Amino acid sequence: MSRPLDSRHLNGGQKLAVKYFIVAVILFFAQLVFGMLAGVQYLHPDFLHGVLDFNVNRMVHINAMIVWMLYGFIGSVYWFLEEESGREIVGLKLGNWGFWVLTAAVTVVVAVYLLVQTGPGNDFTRWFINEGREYIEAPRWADIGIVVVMLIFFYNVAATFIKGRWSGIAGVLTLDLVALAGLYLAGMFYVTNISIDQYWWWWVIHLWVEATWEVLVGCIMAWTLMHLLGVRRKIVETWLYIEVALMFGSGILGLGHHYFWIGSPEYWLAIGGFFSALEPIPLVAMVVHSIYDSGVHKLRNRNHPALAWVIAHAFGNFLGAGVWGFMHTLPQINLYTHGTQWTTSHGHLAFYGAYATINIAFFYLAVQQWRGNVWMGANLVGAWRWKWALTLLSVGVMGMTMALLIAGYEQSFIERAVGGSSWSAYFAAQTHPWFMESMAWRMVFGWITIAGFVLLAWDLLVIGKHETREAETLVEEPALVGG
Amino acid sequence: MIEPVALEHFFFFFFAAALVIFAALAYALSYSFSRLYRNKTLLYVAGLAYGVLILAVFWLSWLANLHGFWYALVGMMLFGYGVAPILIWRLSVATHD
Ligand code: HEM
Ligand code: HEM
Ligand SMILES: [Fe+2]
Repeated sequence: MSRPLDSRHLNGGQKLAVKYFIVAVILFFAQLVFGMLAGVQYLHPDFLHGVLDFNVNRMVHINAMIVWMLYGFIGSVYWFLEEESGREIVGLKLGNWGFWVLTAAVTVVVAVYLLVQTGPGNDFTRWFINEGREYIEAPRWADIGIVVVMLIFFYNVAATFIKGRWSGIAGVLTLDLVALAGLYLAGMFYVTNISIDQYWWWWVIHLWVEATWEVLVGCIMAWTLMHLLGVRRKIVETWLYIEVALMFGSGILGLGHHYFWIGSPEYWLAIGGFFSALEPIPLVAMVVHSIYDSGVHKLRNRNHPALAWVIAHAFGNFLGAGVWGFMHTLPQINLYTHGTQWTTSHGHLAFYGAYATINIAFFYLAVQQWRGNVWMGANLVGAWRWKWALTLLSVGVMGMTMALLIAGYEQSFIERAVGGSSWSAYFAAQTHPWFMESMAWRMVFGWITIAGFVLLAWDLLVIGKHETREAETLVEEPALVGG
Repeated sequence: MIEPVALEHFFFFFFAAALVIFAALAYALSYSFSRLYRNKTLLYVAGLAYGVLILAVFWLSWLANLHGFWYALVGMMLFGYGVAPILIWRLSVATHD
């Protein structure tokens, strides 16, 4: 006997969410493939030279990452919107249309990246080929499309909550989406002064990952904890407010840790160092809260893989953002580590630990429902698959992180502190045996990451297929009594 | 405004920085478990972890030459990492019923 994936088990928002999740997983794979290509080029600079250059592979690698994570977030919100608001999504048709427009735009943008790899930088290329700002290189026509689709998404969220039930999660989510979309505008206009350009660009990148994305994940987590473990609404919501206060309190001015060496005024050394050094506090506070949640309540866990990935998220966020971030955030050390593989080490662990994990957790929640609320608790048939996927992905990313850390340490020593950041020291550091060996190890762990991904994708397709038991249903608290 | 970390202190700097955050974690963990299980011993462990945190913060501030204005950061770290777990715990209890 087998259970098919059947969309009759899904409400309108969830059907749309599933589409977002499918594209997210495909883009996740694209991210890994282009990461591998870029990684090989560190060892064999001639590899695909003139065909697929390093800068293109790197760009596709990190753009695919941003886009798949945003797809996952949008999907997650559409997933719980109807349940949380207690009514149908107001503009589901429009939402579907937005999905196809966005996906078509992403496809065209990537195709153009690959087809037009070199050329001048002028108004035409900014509008139609590449805007040149790391992570958000999409040309301006696509920017405008993205903003339109985000407005549709925002309309759906806000209007559905307004017409249905309002809740604490709804309030935080709606405000956070205003900030998240508004910040994107800061990365859209063009100025000729590179310092000013970088100044605004960091508003998008830093204030996304260290403020608005964290809060968005906070909303998704709040809902997930109620749904997965039966944690009480009042607790998750109060916690959410505190988290917002702590995150924004340290994260907004923590922005200054990117203004140390880009030509901004000197006072940023103090502001950036001071506030960013306090950024791990909310991450530590989360630990306290989760112990309270899991200890005081008799928690029923109805989805083992999802909970395992939620735990991976808590750890990963703490380690990647908290520990790895703190280690290089004071200007006294960032002077040497800035822009070396040290940064890349932190970037990999933080993005994987904080954001890949929570998205994957949500994929598992979705798949459970999609198969008709199938059992995903103890003694699940074929549970080895998700366990190995989690292990291989995490060992792979952690291994890459350590390899990059060693390379970055060597660079900050040889290139910066000893070599005084000269042109020749720049190359001396990158031909040093420590560096080369680290780059080789990165590839080894890259393959492990890929293996983990393959298992994950396979597992998402088949988990629960041969399971006959149903998950126990959880009675959830409504958002507002009588609302 | 800043006096960079000396070359020979690089390694120890990273070590001390990681130690600050891990000590903060150990403190938060042992504090909340001591509350959860009403366990006195764990409260001593929490005190010990906070002691390590203090040492690590001072070590870090010495390695990173945190003088003048930067003393404020030392104070904020000791205060923030110390008080946050207690406040969050109180808050969780208060919202429980
Ligand atoms: C989940 C949260 C976080 C993510 C996803 C993240 C990711 C990243 C990435 C990808 C970069 C590289 C940007 C570039 O291309 O230049 C970066 C830089 C940086 N991050 Fe984070 N980060 C997070 C949290 C933090 C926290 C909490 C801190 C501090 C405590 C921190 C400190 C830094 C610093 C100082 C840099 C600049 C490195 C340099 O000078 O080259 N990050 N982060
Ligand atoms: C198959 C595994 C992977 C390989 C081989 C790989 C390789 C690479 C390479 C070669 C770069 C360019 C670094 C540079 O400019 O020096 C890079 C950058 C980056 N990768 Fe990966 N990657 C992999 C997986 C991942 C994963 C799973 C994530 C996060 C979820 C990630 C996030 C990033 C980020 C944020 C950057 C930009 C970092 C920076 O600006 O310093 N990568 N990766
Ligand atoms: Fe940042």
